[in-house]
Amino acid sequence: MTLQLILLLAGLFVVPAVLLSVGHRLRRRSARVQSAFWGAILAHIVASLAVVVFSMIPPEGWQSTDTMRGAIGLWSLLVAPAVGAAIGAARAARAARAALA
Amino acid sequence: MTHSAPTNAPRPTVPRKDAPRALSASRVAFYSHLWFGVLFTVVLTVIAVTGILLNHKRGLGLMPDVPHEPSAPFSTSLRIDSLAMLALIAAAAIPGLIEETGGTDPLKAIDRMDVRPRNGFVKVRLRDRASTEFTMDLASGRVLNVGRRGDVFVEKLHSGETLGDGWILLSDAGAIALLVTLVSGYWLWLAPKWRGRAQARETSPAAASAAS
Repeated sequence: MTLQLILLLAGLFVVPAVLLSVGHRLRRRSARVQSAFWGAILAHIVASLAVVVFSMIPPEGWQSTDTMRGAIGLWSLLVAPAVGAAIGAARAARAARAALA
Repeated sequence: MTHSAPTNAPRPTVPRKDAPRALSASRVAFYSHLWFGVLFTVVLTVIAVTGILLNHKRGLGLMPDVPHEPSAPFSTSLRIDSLAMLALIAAAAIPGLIEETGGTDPLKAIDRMDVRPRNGFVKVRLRDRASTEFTMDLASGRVLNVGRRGDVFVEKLHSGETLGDGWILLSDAGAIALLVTLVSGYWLWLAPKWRGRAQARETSPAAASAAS
C-alpha cells in the first residue's frame, strides 16, 4: 500500500471518525473547538465533493505531470479539514479578542 | 368497546421487563446508523454516482452503440484469430495505440473479444488506458466502429478496482455499511412505535379498571 492510498484512507475514515468524536457533546466544548469543528466539517464536505468530481476523470485524461488530480483526489480529504479547523479556530480566537477589546 | 390510551393525559409509568434491552438496542441502532453513515458517505456517494453512470452508459455516450444486422450466416464468420489480427491491423493505423497496448501480440494487446451473433459483429477491446474498442463485422472483418469504452473505468471505480486488486473490499464494506444503515434506520423509525403500542396495551387495562 502506497503512502497516497494511506492518506486517502485516513481522509475517508479517520477524519470523519475524529470529527464524530469531537462532535459528541459539542455544546459543552469551548467556542474555539466548536468553531474548529464547523470549519473542518465544511472543508471535509467541500473536499468530498471535489474528490467525487476528480475521481471521475477517465484514465486517458491522466498525465504524469498532473499534480492537481493527485492533490485533490488523495490529499484533500485529509488536508482540507485541517485547514478548515485552523481557520475556524482562528476566527473564534479573533472573535474572542474583539469581545474583550 | 376498544380500549385506547388517552393521548393528552400523562401516561402512568409501568415498569417493563424489556425496557433496558430495548433502549440499548436503540442506542446501538442510533450509533451504528450515525457512524456507518458518516464514515462511508464518500464511498457510498462514489458508488451511487458511478452506478447511475453505468445504468445510463449508452445514453451518456460512455460506450459505443453500433446498430448492425448480420451480413452473412453465422457459420460463415471469420476465425476468431483472424478477427483479432484484423483489429490489431486497424489499431496500428491509430498513432501510439499499439505502443500503449504493448505490441501486436493478441494475447497481450487484446483485453477481450465479445461476439454478438445476433448483431453479426464482434467487439475487440484493447488493453490501452482508454479501453479502445473495435466493432467488426463477423463475416467480412470490416471495422464498423472505433470507440472508447469509458464505462470500463467507471465500472472499476464502482467496484473499487481502480485503486488496486484488493480494493473491491472497500465497496464490499460500503455495501455492508449501507445495509447496516438501512436496518438501523428502520429500527430507529419503528422501534418507538412498537414500544408505544406495547406500552398502550399495558396501560389500557389499568385505565379501564380505574374507570370502572
